[in-house]
Amino acid sequence: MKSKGSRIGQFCIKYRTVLILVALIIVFTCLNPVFVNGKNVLNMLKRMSYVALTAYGITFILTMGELDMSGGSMAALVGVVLATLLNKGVPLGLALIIVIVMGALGGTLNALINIYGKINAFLVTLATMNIYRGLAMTISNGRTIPIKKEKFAFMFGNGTLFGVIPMPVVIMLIFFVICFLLYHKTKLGYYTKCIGGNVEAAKVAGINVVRYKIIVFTLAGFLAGMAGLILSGLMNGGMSDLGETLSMDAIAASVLGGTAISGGIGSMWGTLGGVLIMGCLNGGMSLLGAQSHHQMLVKGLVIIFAVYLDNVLKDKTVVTKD
Amino acid sequence: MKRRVFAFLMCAAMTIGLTGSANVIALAEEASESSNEYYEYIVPAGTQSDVNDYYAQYGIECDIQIKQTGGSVLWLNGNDVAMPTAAENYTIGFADYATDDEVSSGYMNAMKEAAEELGINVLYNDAHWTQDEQNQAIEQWILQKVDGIILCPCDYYGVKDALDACEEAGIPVVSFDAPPNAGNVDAVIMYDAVEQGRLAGEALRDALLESGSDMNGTIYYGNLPYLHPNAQTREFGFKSAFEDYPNIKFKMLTGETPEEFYTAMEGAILAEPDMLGAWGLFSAATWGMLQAIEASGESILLSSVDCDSVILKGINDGKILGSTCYSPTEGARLAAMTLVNLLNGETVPGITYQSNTFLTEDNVEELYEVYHPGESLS
Repeated sequence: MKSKGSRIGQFCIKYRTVLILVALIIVFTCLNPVFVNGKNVLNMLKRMSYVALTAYGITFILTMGELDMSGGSMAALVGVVLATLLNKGVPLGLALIIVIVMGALGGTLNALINIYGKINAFLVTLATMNIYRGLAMTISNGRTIPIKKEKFAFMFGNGTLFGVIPMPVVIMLIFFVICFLLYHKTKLGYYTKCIGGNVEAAKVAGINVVRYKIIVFTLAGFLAGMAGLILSGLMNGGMSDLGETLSMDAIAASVLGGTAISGGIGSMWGTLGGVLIMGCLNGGMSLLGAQSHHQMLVKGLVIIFAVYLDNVLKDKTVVTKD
Repeated sequence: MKRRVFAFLMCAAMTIGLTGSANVIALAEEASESSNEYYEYIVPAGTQSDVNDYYAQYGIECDIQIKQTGGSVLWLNGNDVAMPTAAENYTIGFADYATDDEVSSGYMNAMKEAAEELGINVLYNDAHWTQDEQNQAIEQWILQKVDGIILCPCDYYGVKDALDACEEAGIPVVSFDAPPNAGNVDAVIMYDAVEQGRLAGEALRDALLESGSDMNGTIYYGNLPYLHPNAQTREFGFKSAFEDYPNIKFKMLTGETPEEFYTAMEGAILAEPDMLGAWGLFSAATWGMLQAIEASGESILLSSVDCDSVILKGINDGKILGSTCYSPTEGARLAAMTLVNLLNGETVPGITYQSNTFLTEDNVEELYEVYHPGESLS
């Protein structure tokens, strides 16, 4: 029979992300009640939507025991190519298909170089991060390319569903459901965890590691591309410097949500929680007028605290079980 | 009489599209019916100001409407401008693009001091170059029902949605630093970036002529790797100073940080040790290029734009020819003053230009405090 203390401990471990989130909401609301104003909440969610999309992809990649640094650059490239195509008169539908496929293929390329070049995924994506950003700068010539398509702005920028919910939030939620199902309810998610847990064992068990690696990186590229569409929608243009911290924010959100950087463990709910924590920190500190260096400092400390707490609680669980 | 007719014609011409073109000071001299020792009218009060055509000359797509009709003024020295009395206890938002360089942090500090003097509350945001973050802060200020907003945009197009939201909420906006290229604002505080480049170019040109140069060779200049309204206009002004010397070629080095410019300039010196001179379009470029020049042991004339303390010290030490400076304090005070006047119900100038001054070894010590209040070179 478990003691009361043990039950509380288990509860804390299970709902740690939610607990941190609730604590942040309480603190920021006490400091400025506008924090929980419905419009502010929706605005914060809108601003986290592109981080969430990238983080969903990153969760698959981290779970597989790999790392992808190229998401932010891919998002910028997608925005720039889309804006260029639209300015050249390509119809919106076709332009969207082209850039979404491009995003996915960018992810596939990461996987192929990793697998066949036998280069660590971190190094591969570090290189492609520069390549994609360089391409975006070359295509745009460093210039912001305005997008003046109302349909696009509505779908990915400041449009709302029922006049209330921002479209980026709708997209974020739709992809959350899809990624949740993929991660928790399909072979893809299960095999991803197996590969991340022990790649050799996964091979022995007959899992086609190469195939699943390609699928996961392609999915991450696709999601980064979607994030790029939202960023371009919000900014009304394609810009080569968009999303410079996107990959790092997405990795931080995923890790905050309990995804193990060493692979094998993760949860889509946790990632969403991590994204919301990041969003609360950004929105809350912005509301308090904190300067960027203070924001960086606090974000860094919260991430260390959350990961440390995660490790301590996990260790306690292991000790309890032993 | 002739002078008045000429001034009127000039003003009319400017309202239909020549506002701010090329050289603000030259225009000021011809339209200064209502000027005093602190400022000069470039476009008379009661006239709509416009920056769209000004930017169009340099290939910058700009589509903004400036709502205030108080003409355009050039401040000769706004550092000591007396602040108006706020009619109410206003709360305003100040959105700075960053605080990680001396200009942007100077904006923030000066705004804090101006707010104290004005007796108004200011909510601050430092967006660290992220437009999305700045937009979020502005939307939060709208929810907090601020009376007005002063904003230094991070991205000149990306700020449009936030400006639209302010317009919808009926909150006046004063843009400060380079104006946005999309969306509407009530008034603009800016500087003549073409003049900034031209002054730096003229200083380098004159120094070359004085040194007996044959004005045949290459000038390297450090620029941003992406297009920026201030960079494009500064570059245009700089090159215009060498119009009479067709044998001078310009080669651009790009980067954002001093170390990037150090590396780029190191390579340039190896490739062309006999280059005519160099120009840093902004402080990080100048600083990186200067370090590379010093390390190489070559004697290369270098001019600059920006008032960072290291640049001014470099001028004082004779390592940099000079730099076109504009005061962050002046800009912040003018922005605060403009918004408070606007909130008090007055008609304010649509465009307020800050002054540019070229600092050299001769005047840097004397003028240092204008750019770094409370400090001195020593």
